[in-house]
Amino acid sequence: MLILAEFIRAAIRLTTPLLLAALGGAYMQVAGVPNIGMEGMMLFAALIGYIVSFTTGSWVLGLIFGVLASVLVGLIYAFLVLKLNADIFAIGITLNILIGAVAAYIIRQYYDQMSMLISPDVVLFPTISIPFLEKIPILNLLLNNYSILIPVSFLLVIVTYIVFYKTPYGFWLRAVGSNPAAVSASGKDIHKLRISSFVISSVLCGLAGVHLSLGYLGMFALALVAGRGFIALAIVLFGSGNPIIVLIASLIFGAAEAVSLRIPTELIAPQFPLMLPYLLTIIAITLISRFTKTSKSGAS
Amino acid sequence: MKARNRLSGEVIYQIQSFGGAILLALLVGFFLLRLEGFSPGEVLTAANSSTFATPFRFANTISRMLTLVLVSLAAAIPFKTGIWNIGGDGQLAIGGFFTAIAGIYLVGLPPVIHITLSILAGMIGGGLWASIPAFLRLKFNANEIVTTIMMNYLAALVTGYLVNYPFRAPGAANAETLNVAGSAYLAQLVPLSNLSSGLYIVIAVFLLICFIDWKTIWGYEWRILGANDEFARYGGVRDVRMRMLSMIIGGALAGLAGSILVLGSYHKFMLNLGGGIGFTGVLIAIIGANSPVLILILSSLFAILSNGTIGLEAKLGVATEFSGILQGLIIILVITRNNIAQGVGRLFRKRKDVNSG
Repeated sequence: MLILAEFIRAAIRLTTPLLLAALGGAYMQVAGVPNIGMEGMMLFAALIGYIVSFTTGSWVLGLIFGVLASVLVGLIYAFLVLKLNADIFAIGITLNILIGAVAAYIIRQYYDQMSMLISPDVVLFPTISIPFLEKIPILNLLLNNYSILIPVSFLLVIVTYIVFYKTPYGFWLRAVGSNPAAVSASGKDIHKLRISSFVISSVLCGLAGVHLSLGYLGMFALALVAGRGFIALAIVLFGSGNPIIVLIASLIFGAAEAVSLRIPTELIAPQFPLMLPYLLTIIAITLISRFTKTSKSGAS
Repeated sequence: MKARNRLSGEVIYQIQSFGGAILLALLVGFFLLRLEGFSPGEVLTAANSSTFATPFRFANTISRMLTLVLVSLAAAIPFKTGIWNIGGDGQLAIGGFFTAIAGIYLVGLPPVIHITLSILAGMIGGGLWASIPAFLRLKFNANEIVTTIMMNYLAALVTGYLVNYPFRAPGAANAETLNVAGSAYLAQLVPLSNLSSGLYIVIAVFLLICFIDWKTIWGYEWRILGANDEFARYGGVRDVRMRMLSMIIGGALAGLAGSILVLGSYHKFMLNLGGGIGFTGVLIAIIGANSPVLILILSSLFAILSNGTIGLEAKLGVATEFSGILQGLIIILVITRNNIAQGVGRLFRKRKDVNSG
């Protein structure tokens, strides 16, 4: 029982970065502009958030500047794609690679580190403890003392659901994705709606990034994001932007990652369990395409 | 005659805007280094010291260019047909590993045969690895941007397992295989450098790709598939087959890059063999896929940039990662060059109007 509760706890902790990024991806996906740059947004937010936190000694500033770093990427992405009409896939992939280089350059040039950055001065995100839960051991283990963005990520599922399906903004955003010509004809500014989706998307990817460095691991590494931006993209495509399906898929991937980290290395070489999330991503993205034959991918 | 003039006018405009975008990116680079306190003269001298100054340096720059040509073609050929191949790194790793195994265990053969078989093993390994995401895309319409990236992580883990456990050289400090047999060594062209007779293989392969691209039906079909697949299908192009083929050729070329690194430079397989060079190949393919010659030029430029920063680091203390930033900047400026040119043109005309009015 205790082992199960511990496993669920690990799964929840590993779900959050994917969930935040995938919710972010959903805003752009429903607006008809797939976010290929999530990997880079997360990496940049994780780095800047971590640096600001250990430089200023404030996790709040780390959070804010990390998210702003991601928004900066989002605005550049939006400018190049929406204003200069550049290919969204080509720019997304280029930005990911470019940010990888920028991050490597920053930690090398200014902190003299090769692949990771750890500072004793860093202030991590606080955990939320609810006193009355402490009396019930199982519930305490399951629900208490999570890093601050973990409960926030689950709340954001509800928020996103309401935004998408209960607000005029969500209606227009989804309309832009499904029928931009009609939106344009009804006098709405397609560009503004899409730019807003880039901004919201980059805020959420920024939260995912700062959570990785300041909430989950307590360090920054160039391999920190490790493909999560693309796993999140697979999750978004899997749910075609529906926040409820995004939540379920994120939980499955979080659980898979928890399994992969918990298989004892005496039983099997550590490389095999680590393959699980990547294999699962390939399987998921293959399965969805069975249902949605119309969605087109690839170079346009 | 008129049409031909228009055509060459278009070509000249493309060369100008392409060159202008690259020049602009390099100027930004110089400007950033100026802010750090280094004059352009210092920067050029330092970059020259690690790229052209000695035969050893020059050989290493050429060697890097050769790898880049192969991984760029690996991304560019599928790209022509409308398929993304971001998986060059994984295909290079698998190819390198296959080659190392053939090089270590196929002993007692004459060098020519041993080298040929080892390289074939690497190309088959890379091609097989690429065929998996290609199959999933063409059969199930699975997004290949996601799957090829996942295949990179899987390749790193699979080869990581293989060189840590079953094929780890006894007593080696790092995760690496044994050295390949002497009969599989590619001759070194410049002592101690990474440049081997793999140079001739790459030249031959490059010419073959040029020939396929320009003179054969395959090249034509790739191009029209990328431009308009409905039209291509209507015209009788077997799209699934041609796309699968383009992806397997791409994977085989990335595998070949791994083979040449193993047989010519390191003589064994080790983790992170390509050091992420596959992604640089994707960048080059994004702007250069239309023309093998363009890929050759861009590969040379990027090889000079990345090896040039070795000198910047040694002499001026600028981290080598700076080259990655420049490369990304070049790609973005080249992609958006037409819009930037229009914007600048508009600005220019406006000012003129104001002046004349």
